[in-house]
Amino acid sequence: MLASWKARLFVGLSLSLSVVKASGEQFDEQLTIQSLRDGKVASTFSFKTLLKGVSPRDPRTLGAEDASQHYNVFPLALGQILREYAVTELHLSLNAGRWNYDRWGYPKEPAVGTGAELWAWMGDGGQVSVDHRWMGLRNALAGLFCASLGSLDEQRTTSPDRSFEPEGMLPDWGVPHRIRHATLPSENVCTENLTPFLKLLPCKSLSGIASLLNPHRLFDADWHGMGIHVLWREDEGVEVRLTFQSVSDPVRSSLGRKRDWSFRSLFDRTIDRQCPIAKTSEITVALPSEGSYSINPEPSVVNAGKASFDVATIDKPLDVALQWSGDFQYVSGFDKPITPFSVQRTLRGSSQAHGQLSVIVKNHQNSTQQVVYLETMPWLVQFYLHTLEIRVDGVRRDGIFSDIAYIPAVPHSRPATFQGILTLPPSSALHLTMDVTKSFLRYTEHRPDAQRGWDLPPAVLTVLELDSNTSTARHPVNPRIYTSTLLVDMATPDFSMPYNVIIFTCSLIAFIFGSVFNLLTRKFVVVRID
Amino acid sequence: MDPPTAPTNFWTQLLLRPIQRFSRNGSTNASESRIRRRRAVVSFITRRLWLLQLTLFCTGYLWLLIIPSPRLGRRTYIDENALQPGQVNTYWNWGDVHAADKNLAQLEALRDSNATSKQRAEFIRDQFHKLGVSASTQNYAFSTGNTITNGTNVYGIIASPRAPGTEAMVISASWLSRTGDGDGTLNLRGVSTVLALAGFLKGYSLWAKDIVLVVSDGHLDGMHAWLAAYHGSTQSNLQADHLDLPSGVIWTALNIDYPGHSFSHLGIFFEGNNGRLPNQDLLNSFQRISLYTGGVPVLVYDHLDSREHPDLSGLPPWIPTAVRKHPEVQSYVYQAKNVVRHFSYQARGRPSGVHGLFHQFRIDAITLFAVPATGPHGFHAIGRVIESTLRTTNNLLERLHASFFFYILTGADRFLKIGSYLPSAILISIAMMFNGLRIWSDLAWSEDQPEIPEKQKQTQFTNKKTWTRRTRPVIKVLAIMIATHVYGAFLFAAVTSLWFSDNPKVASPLVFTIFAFIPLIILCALPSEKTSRGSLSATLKALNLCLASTVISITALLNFSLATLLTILMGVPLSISATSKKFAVRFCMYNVYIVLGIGWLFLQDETLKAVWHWEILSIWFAPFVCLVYTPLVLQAGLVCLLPQ
Amino acid sequence: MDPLPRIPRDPSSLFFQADNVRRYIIGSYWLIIILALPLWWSTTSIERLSLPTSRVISQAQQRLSIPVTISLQAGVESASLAFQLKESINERIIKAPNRWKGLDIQVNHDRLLNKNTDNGVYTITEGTEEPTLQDRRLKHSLQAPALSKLVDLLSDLIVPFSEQDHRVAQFATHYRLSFTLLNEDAAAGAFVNHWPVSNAISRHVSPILTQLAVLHNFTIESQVQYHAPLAFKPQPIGDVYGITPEDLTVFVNSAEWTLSSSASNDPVLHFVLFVPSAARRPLRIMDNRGSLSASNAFLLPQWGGIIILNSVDQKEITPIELSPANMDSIFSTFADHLLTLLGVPKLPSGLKTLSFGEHNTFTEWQLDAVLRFRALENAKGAQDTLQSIVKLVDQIENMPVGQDVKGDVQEALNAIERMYTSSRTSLIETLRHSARALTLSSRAFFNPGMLALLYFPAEHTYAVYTPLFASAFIPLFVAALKEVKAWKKQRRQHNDTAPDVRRLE
Repeated sequence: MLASWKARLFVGLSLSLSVVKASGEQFDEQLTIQSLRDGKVASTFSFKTLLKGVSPRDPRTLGAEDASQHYNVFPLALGQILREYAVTELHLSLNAGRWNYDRWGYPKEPAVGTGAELWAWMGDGGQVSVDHRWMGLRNALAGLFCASLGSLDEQRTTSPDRSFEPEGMLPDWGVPHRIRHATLPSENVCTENLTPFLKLLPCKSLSGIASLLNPHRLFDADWHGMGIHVLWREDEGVEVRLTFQSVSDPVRSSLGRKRDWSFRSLFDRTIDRQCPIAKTSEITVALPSEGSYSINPEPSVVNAGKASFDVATIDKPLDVALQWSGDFQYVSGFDKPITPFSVQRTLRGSSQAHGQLSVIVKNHQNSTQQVVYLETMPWLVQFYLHTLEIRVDGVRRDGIFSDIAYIPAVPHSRPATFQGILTLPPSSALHLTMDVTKSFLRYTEHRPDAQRGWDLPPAVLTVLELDSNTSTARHPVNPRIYTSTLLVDMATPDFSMPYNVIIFTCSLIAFIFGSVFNLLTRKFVVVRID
Repeated sequence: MDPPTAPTNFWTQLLLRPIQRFSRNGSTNASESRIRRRRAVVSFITRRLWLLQLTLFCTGYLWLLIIPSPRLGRRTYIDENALQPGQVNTYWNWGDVHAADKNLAQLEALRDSNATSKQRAEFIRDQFHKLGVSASTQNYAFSTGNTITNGTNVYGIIASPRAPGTEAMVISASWLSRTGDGDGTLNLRGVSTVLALAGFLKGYSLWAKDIVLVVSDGHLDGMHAWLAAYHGSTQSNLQADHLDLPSGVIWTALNIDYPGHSFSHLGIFFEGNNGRLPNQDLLNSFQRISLYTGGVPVLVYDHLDSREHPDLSGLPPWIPTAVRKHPEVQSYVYQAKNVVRHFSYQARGRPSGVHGLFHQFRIDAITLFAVPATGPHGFHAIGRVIESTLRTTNNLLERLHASFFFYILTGADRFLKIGSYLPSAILISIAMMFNGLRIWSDLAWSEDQPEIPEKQKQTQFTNKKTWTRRTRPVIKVLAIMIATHVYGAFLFAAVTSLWFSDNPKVASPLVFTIFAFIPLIILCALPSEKTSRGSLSATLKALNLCLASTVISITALLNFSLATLLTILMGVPLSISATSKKFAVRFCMYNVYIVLGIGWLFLQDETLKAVWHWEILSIWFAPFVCLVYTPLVLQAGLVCLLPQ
Repeated sequence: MDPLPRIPRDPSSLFFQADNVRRYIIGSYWLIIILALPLWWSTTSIERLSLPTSRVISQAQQRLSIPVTISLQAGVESASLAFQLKESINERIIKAPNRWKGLDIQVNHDRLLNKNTDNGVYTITEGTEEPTLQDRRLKHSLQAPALSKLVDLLSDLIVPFSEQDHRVAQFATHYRLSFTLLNEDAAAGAFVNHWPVSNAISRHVSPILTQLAVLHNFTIESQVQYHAPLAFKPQPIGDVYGITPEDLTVFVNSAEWTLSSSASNDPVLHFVLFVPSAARRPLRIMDNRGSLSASNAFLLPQWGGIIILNSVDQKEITPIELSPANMDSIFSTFADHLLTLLGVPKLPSGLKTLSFGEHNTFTEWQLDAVLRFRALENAKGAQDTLQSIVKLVDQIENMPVGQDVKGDVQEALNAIERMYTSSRTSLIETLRHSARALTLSSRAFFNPGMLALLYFPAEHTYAVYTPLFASAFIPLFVAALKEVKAWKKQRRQHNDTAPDVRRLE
């Protein structure tokens, strides 16, 4: 019978060629490359899949059998997870390195916190609780991305709804939506995370812009990070955006100290074929403002200092290259901050019991600004809130820190959430200090690997737009700012010889016990000698 | 069994509590015999206690003497597997050497135009910026007395790629070299090496930790200010700016000291504040790297090995050459030199270089001192060695914790474990403790016929007990001891006073005389009652000895060199202190002890240095001497002074 | 200066030297220790509930047997015929006992048979030459010569699987059917980017699923992939490309194709429509002799089915959309694959089936065969699993057995018992219970809690405790011993002094 259907097939195909159906899914890919002040090159890949007219799963239907899923472009593996746990909005980012805001400015994709960060908005209601779904979600993602997201457990999960507002919309089911957020700064990102990431793309890394994603070069960059963002918009539908950012340093690799770059030099690859699925596939290069340079091939469009290439039309293999005439010189003050704010967060003190958290926020604008300051601190480090002290340019000031919301940590179970609004006077440096205590770990809580210390998640600052007439804060406009992560030294026993320790302690106890016992039960008599 | 002597009587009294649980009316003879046996043993020991003390003293001091001997130590080894010293091939080449030379030329120009430290710092910062290293400066000012030391540090940070920047390694060079404890010799080559390294290290993406490059002003003060600001530790007499550029937790630090224009050996300096030592793995791996990667032989300090340079062996010529040429003797002499140098640093708690300031923050740090010579090595060698050492410390997954923190480095590749040197001091302190306890126990008893000489007493007073218990004037003695410590506090106040530091020439003899006479005056003022005859002095001695021994044995673990110094200064003198009938004798002996106790006042600059170290670097030596050492010796002096 | 007293006061006059005080002290020590023992025990011992071992073993003995009733309706001589039929079937059973295991075949001939039992009766009626099948009714000629043919036919219908079919997927109550359209290389052009999958499924797959609803329930999903490289190079033969049988074994390139889902643990049945790259068309399957085989679809046992779609080899980039007609042919093949994978037997050849409702794709006979086969399989699986749990637990000393494990085991046993009871009455009930038993037993077997303390053996505990307890207990023991001795001695003295007193008076 198989032979018979083949005959019919040819007919069918010839018919079908005339028919063109409007697919409910759309895929766009984009690459943005920008030369930074310090000679580094920031490249941002963004792959957007839109599932039109689809809304996320209502948590109340979780008990029942789910509708069958049919996707053409949308990654099924991700779709299953989203529907299995009824996730409305999801953001996962895996980054390696510290994003240097002062030098590089704001990133194209805001989520640049070191390590792994996962946050999701989920409708509350139905028979499965949000926390249960959150657990299932992080385990499923851990399996999907080969990352240790499974350890983003209750000890790291918080719900900071203020700083992480949904980027899309939340469907109105008549049930409230809850946020769950967790970070794992010690997670380091490498090839085994990129491979599953690429598999989610319709063209893998075999054609189109994605073919530039070459692990060998990407993981040699100064900074790199990948992100998965799922969100829903009422008029459009469910959107999945996969992003990859990297900051590579051509000055380092070129011994001649030149800042020229090309696809070959950055990724060691070129675009040979376009991805046939992509509706649009665009490469945008931010043209430098000063210096004489040449860019080839000739860009399709140039406007507003941006040259853009349309991969579909331009002749392949495509290898965009930007060349400067002269050698690269570091301009004086090349590391003066270009962001309106710069943040510096350190944990002072070298003792293993106490320390001091010190956050310095500099406001470079000459207007008062308000930022939401968020600490999601594991219970390893606990705050002494009464020692909170704020100095502006070295002078102690009150009323700077308002709307403080504090959920204290519960040792061995729950992290602390510390959130408040900082009011930054124009062009000033605000110095916030707070004493912390480092808790004492149970011996089973020490990790089996080398004791380099414990990584603490970054603090997050969200800039609030200021209303002109009343100085009340509105919802965020600027991207979040992630501070650097911290490393904290806990009191660590010497695990190399546990039995010695046990035996020493036991003998001491036994000695004390023995002597006390003897004194209590000894019988004295007088014995006359001569 | 032989009859018990006076003191043993007390010991046996102590033992009048047999552990006997059988019936009360029952046969006591079992326990009785046990008691007799115990008495016998105890009296045997107690009557030969002096012998025990003697042996302990002798072994202790002998042990101290043989510490430098090559037979006691062992070869060093690497304990931490992650370090893998010298396993990488280095990339530092002549181009980088050229860069270093250029920097040097500019720095020399700067020096000749005798620029202020601020100008220097700004110049160096601009150099960093030209290399694309983010850098900043820090102003600081120490106020000691009415002098104000101020300066400007400059530091740059090479952020490690792909790393969160929570860990860091430091390469530092102070503007002043350590030669002559910062007597003004400039460390230009060290600074230019740091600058060249900044450009070189930035070109590699293999760093797992941030690299912090610090050029500190002055010798010790600059780095101290920088570290204080980095770790947020406050100090009353220090005004230092905040650091603009943050970095992570510092694990290791290398301090470069390169005063001459080329060098023959690299010397390791490792002693830190208050006698703290870095982990030995750092020293050992540096030693191996320098030898095998850089081809530069390593020394401890700047002592050229007398085995290679026979003219350097400090042996007097009258010693027969057979002995002098004997290899064992030679290595003993060489190692003795190292040990003595080590003691001289550690005992006074002085850092032997800028590195020493790191240790208090749990950072393992050493100074590489390029021993000035006419060759053969220069920037090329030191660059390679430092690069390779950095690669090694870069491998660390956790703080250095294996290997040793307690050791005595007798040679570049030989060391003593704590087990092989600690007993010496401990034995001596035990001897002192025994002495004190014995006196204490003897004091509890007095016989009725004191005029009968000791010998006959033992023979006569066997069967009938003529010993009477007497109380010991503990309260009085304690009062005296506390008084001596208060006296020490006053002395410390006097020494640290402005007035003293301003005109030491006048002050020191004045203070000496005053503090020498205070006790005499007080003693004359006090009414001496006849009841407790001599027991006051003796009790004081007993407690003094016990206290001293405790102090020594505790110090031995924290700072062995200091403990050794104490054993030498106090061990025998405190044990032989005794009162006598004639006041003249007592007075002379008292004077001897006074000289021993506060004679150091006459070493004015030494005293001033100690005070400076206390005020700036908070090194405990000065207070320790005033508050612990001097009172102890003074107590011994009072023992002699008090009437019999 | 007080002189040493000649006679120090007698210590025994001190209150704390009184015997009973001392004994109280020692006693209280022991009292506390004894009181503490149970606490210590409960905090340090492993939770190890007892499993119903005897029940498991007893259940392992008995075997499930499902009645199959054949009623012969052949007028007057049906009794004799029934007897002959029974005889010859018995011969078959003796010949191949494994094949007929678990069934007891009854052949009766009474005219009034009860239609209204779920555990349906197969009726055989006299029919024309050609055997025809209508839902539970078989028309067959009942002449003596045709009897053997009838028996063959019956055995093929009732026990279609001569031996365990390895292509059939493991039983599960819930399957995931994933339909995947794989373009080997879309960038090479002429790729398929859209297939009207949902109505094709509703046309071909859903009827099967509805019929099998009594056994399993299903989740359906589909995806399209545009780059699915093969792990091997097809070899060109003339203008076609061939896949050798050994290539077929590695056809599924699971490293590159993302077919499996990480969302749930349900078993997945994959149905892959593979579109070769435009550079390699047509792609054909070769048989062992190296000649191209007619079929372009093949089935991977227990995994799924694959169809290679060689569309017209045009080179332009325009993507192809499969028409309903193609989908029909493709999905009818997928449907066959699905039936095979789920163990629905094929009808024996030369058997005419009358219309059995246009929704149904197979007959009651086949469905019953699957039900019986699955029920027996599950029963055996459940029993084996339970046995191995019991064995494992009593082999490994410090393996914890929590309440959940115990509960699961007991539930499984109950389910098995219910299965036995219902096996007489209803086949579907039997299957349901057997499935429940299987799932419960395997859940108990793979309970993670059972691995908890395996790696902290008792020696470690002793190594930790000894230094403390040994050195603390010795003085306790000695003290108690001595005290007891002293006390006895005292008693004895007291006894033998008492008479003297009496004599004195």
